Amino acid sequence: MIEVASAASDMQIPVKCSCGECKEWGMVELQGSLEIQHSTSLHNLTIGSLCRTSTSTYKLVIGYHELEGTKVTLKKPLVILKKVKAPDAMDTDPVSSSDPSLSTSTPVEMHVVGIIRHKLLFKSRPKALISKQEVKPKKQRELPSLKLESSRELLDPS
Amino acid sequence: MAELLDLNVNGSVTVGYSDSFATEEFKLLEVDESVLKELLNDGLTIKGDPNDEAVLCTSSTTYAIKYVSTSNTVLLLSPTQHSTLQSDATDCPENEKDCTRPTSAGVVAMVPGLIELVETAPRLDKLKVLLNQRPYTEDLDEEQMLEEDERGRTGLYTMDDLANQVQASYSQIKAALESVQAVEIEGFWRIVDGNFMQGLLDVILLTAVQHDWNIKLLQESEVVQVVRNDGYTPKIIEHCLACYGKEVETNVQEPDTRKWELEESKVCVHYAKQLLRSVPKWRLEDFLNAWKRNIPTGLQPELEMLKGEVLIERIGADSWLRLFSVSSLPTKPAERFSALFKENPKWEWDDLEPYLRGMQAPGQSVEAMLLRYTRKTQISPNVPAMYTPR
Repeated sequence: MIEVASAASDMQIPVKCSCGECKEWGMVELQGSLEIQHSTSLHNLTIGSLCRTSTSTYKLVIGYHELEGTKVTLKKPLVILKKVKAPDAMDTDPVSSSDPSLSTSTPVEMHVVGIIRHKLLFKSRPKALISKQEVKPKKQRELPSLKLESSRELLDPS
Repeated sequence: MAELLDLNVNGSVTVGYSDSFATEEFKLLEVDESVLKELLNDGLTIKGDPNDEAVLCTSSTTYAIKYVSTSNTVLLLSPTQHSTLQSDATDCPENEKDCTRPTSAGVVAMVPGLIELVETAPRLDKLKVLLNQRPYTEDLDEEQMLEEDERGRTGLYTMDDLANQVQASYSQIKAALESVQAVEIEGFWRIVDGNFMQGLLDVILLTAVQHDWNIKLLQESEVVQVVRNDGYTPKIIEHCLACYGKEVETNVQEPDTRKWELEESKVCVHYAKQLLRSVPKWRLEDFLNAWKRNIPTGLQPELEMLKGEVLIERIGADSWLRLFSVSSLPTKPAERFSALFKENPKWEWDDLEPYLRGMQAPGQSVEAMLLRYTRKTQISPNVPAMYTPR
């Protein structure tokens, strides 16, 4: 069967920058994962305190743990992309707009919202700030699949 | 981001989840500076049907999209989110004596990995499929096409249609259209049916003989004027001249008349293919005689011209020649070598070399591909090396 060219489905997703000048975002990379204790919402929850100890070194204190990190310039820049509905597609196909996957028939665009050129990398094992060893009930967070690799805790400041 | 990276030495910030944390999904894409520049200035395109592996195209290059996941925790901090936590940042950690004047920074997302780009060969097979839906055969077809009727457009593609459906960059599609000798007619890109094109070239060559024209200096306007009486459109006549010839430097005095030199080798190959179409297998001597007889006077056929078009096999005392065209072979290296070894289990370098042309494998040298897909054996230094499948 030969499809009519004019009716062929659009198989392109434009990737573009709509903001004009893209700001540099911050990126913090830790080994392992963060765990949350007795908290229902993550919004506005404090993770810890970040301190710049020299021009290239940083210290991150999370709960009772202290992490040493460095500022690393990325070999290649990263752009941060956000999926948005194509502006000219608003009136064409409102049915499948709830499906966020890339293969949806609703035309989408990827917009650059920021650039990352440096990251703060905390790759060393955390140092305990106090000797008290607590037995904590661990609860994995309901966030994107991350393997539990170390037992760093994130404490609710309250 | 500025807040974290420009922090004064011994300055500190409180890091926390912003109130918009995880409400939006972000993807990280790793790019070269050159790709970044094009992305910010002109934009890029991700292409693919739901069944395809998606690719990302710049104006010149095609990249495969590789998702690399990380087991580390990667937090993104937006420069616009830094103030939302300000009110919460009252509790400066007591144990941070050297940290002063805390401000705050908001984490807006956690990302499980990033997307890397790997340059890849353009996926042009679909281009051939699309163009072959309706090759240009005769000019009568044109009138049908120009009807307003939607069916009249079936199987016809504009450059935009092709760019939309073919997983390759704009310039790679352009180059591919050129290499398959497609022509843009009334806005649609068409390949011209082989027999139709052969017929037209025959008419042009015959006309040239009749009018005593020099085929190395054909006046386009003259050719068009005479040949269009045989029912060919000027556009397709010009295309035929361009396919089999090259434009001769235009005289500044008369810029309106283009002149074309028909290329000896292309015209000779045209006649060779014509012979092979009527009889698929020829004894070499018979072929050479027939070939010379058919070719217009003034042209000198050489067996060398047929490299990549015919295979010559030595069977006993005789050599036999048959059609085996490099343009009919797949462009992916693995498929190309498999097709070659299916045709012939052993290859000498001189025979093999023409069939390695036009393979699509960015960053791979011919030597590397030979190492990967063939085994080279040389029984003694006096005999040529043979390539066999690996």
